[in-house]
Amino acid sequence: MTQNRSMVADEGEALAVLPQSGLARLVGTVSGGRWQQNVLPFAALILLVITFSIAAPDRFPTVKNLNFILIQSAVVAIVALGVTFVVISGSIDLSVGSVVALSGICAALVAVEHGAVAGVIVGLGTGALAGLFNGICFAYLKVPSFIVTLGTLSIARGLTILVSKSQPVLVPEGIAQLGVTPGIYIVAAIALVAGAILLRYTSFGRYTTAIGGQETVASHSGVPVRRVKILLFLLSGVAAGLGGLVLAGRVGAATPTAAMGMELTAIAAVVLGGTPLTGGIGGVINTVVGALIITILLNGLVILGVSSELQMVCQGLVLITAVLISLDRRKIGIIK
Amino acid sequence: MSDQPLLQIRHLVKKYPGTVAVNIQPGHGVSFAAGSIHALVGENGAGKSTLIGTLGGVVSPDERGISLDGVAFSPKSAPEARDLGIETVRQDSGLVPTLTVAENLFLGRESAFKKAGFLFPAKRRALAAQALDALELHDVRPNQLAGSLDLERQKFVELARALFFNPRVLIVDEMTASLSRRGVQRLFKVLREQAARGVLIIYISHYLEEVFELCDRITVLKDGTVVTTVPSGDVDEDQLSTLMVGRSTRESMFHEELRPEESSDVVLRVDGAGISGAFEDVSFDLRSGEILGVAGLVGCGSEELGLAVFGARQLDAGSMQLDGVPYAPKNPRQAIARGVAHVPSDRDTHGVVLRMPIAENVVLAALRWLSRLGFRAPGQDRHRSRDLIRELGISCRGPRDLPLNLSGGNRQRVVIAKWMVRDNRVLVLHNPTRGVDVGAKAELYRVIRSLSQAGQAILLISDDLQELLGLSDRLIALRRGRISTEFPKDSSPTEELVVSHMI
Repeated sequence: MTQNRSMVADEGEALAVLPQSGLARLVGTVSGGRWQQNVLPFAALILLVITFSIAAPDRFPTVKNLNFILIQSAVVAIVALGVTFVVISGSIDLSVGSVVALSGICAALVAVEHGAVAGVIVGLGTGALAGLFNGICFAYLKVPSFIVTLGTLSIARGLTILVSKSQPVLVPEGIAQLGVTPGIYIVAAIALVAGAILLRYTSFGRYTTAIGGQETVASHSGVPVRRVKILLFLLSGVAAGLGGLVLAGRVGAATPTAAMGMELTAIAAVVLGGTPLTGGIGGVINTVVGALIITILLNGLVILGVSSELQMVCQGLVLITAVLISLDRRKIGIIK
Repeated sequence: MSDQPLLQIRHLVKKYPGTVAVNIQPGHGVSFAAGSIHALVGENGAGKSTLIGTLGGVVSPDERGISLDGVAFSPKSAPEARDLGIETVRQDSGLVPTLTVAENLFLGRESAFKKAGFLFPAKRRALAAQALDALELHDVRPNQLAGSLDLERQKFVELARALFFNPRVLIVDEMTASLSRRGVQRLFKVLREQAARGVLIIYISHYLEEVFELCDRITVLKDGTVVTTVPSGDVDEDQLSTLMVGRSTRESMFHEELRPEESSDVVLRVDGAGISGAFEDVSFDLRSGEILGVAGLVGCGSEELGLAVFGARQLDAGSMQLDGVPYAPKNPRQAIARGVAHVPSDRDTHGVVLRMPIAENVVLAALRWLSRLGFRAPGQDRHRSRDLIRELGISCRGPRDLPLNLSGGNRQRVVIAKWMVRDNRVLVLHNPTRGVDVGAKAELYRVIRSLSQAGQAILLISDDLQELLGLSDRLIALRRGRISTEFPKDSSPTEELVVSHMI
């Protein structure tokens, strides 16, 4: 019979979350997420494969097309890997498409003169610098990540065209190896495994999740919030740099218009994989699934003869639908 | 006026998960007469906010029997309550700072100057001028941005907004907290005029002297129920304090424990500390194994004091020493490195990450020391937190469960578990048992006691007097940011005595 202490509105929400089906509860408990994050993406992936296999039995399920899909999704997954970390921390990185192009061009220009190794270093370094710029503007100057990276999207694309003088640059053999079988598979595997370990088995990964889950709790638990935020964008930049190298390798040349709109594809991969934009949960494997979904979707549409204009419409609709399903609306009171 | 009361609350129940905020049963209700100034008093959490929230249409109760002017009253929204003639001036600011005064005055009530969907700003300005004139607010211009006004003028603009539509009931909730002495007198004058015109004023204030000066009748709330309603001439401040806090039975949740040695070391020394606008000239010593209680009303500065010790706020004046060494943490990270921990009042936004597994929450603050070269396996954390889950009796499905799925008391235990991975020098507790049911409270008290016996120096900031008196070895009371008194060891003050130093 002591005092009725002030009531926590959030507790009603906690109770509302409890009823779940047995399977969903199991999956949710195991990975700390909800069923939208874990079951739906896999189901969507399988459904897509079945649908396209039935619609185009002679062209979709072939070894050649499978290889094409895997290489294409590897590029998306590498770029989306960095975005995954940023999104789990509750922020967003819209600049990755342009950073991919800028890194590719810079790497190619240097590689032509000084060899592939120098090219790789410069490519990754370019991405790192762009990410560092994003991170400092966001974490120290407090410009919202949406705006900073939107600005960088434009800056990096402009620099790409300036540096390349609007001309594609052929890449030497060393870099080209990064974009074809088996090089691209090795690079993607190393990057994704390293990303998964970073997220689950290091303090940095935990801090990322905690910041996305509730930044004040993180800061009151001694998490160096600003440092982690800068590292997050740095990581995203490096991943985009690696994406630029791989993409240039696959095409055989770095082009100034490469990866136009890839930020949307990458974010779509993250969200379709079940990592909600509200932050705090998500994973690298989710993003791999998401990258496969978006790649297969676009690939299937091409095979079915859908025009590229309609593909853009499709990609946009899919992105909005994915957010619609995955967004945890209870977590945000007002959506702007 | 007939003798039928204007507003009658016969029956009102509002439950929140784990707690009953208001429980007014038939026969124990309260009636309010037109033209009277009627005070609602009670401790933090007595149910005042829920009650006026119901009247204002922002809280929907589980059960209600309320009538306004003899007609059943059950507004579904704030606008509906306003249309029925109930206006509220709230404690926190109710103006949109980026809109003009005139826009604020008629926000949601644009129909007064709207024709066929179009607004007529000139008409709005004229009406606004009229509303401001009625309160003699000559130094406020209708076109001024509300955010450019000082707090006192903002509150009066809110009052003008409430009065312009000729309410039958005006609820004034803790408005004087943001007013100067002159502002308070001006407010009283307005309220008396309105009462003379037949408006019912429901007045809420922590400051009892104001209540006695202004109000005709006083209703005392405690633990969500109406204790009594009396004419203000029939009681004095002491009697009122007793009615507010008096309890028939003392719970047996506190045990007389071994008190710390007189000679134990001073761990934390706070010397002349101040943060402008929150507290000033606060000094005390906190010894190893001691629980120092801080009593005070909401807004007395105790919360900021706790945050300053934890490095989440910085002192403007004075200094601190930890273990004899100067201590000026710039952020919680530095405080934690020196062994200072903080259990916040709002555990859901400051204590735990609701959607992160318990195991990861528990080690979050200690990860710096647990990880090797930045690496840390989740398995080790689950192992570690399993012990703490058992030790603290956290009921959950295991270390991978989310705090989101736990009750308030269990969430709070997760927060405490977080600070048990490493030993602290100083543990700041702010309302450690808020929103926790009775059984869980006793369990938390046992944990706090045992941490103290292990030698941690505990600063206990609480709105719960019983908790303060039961746990603290010493007690300081804050009144408007200053230490008003200190109750030394073994002085065993009564609740009434402590309250008299808070208000």
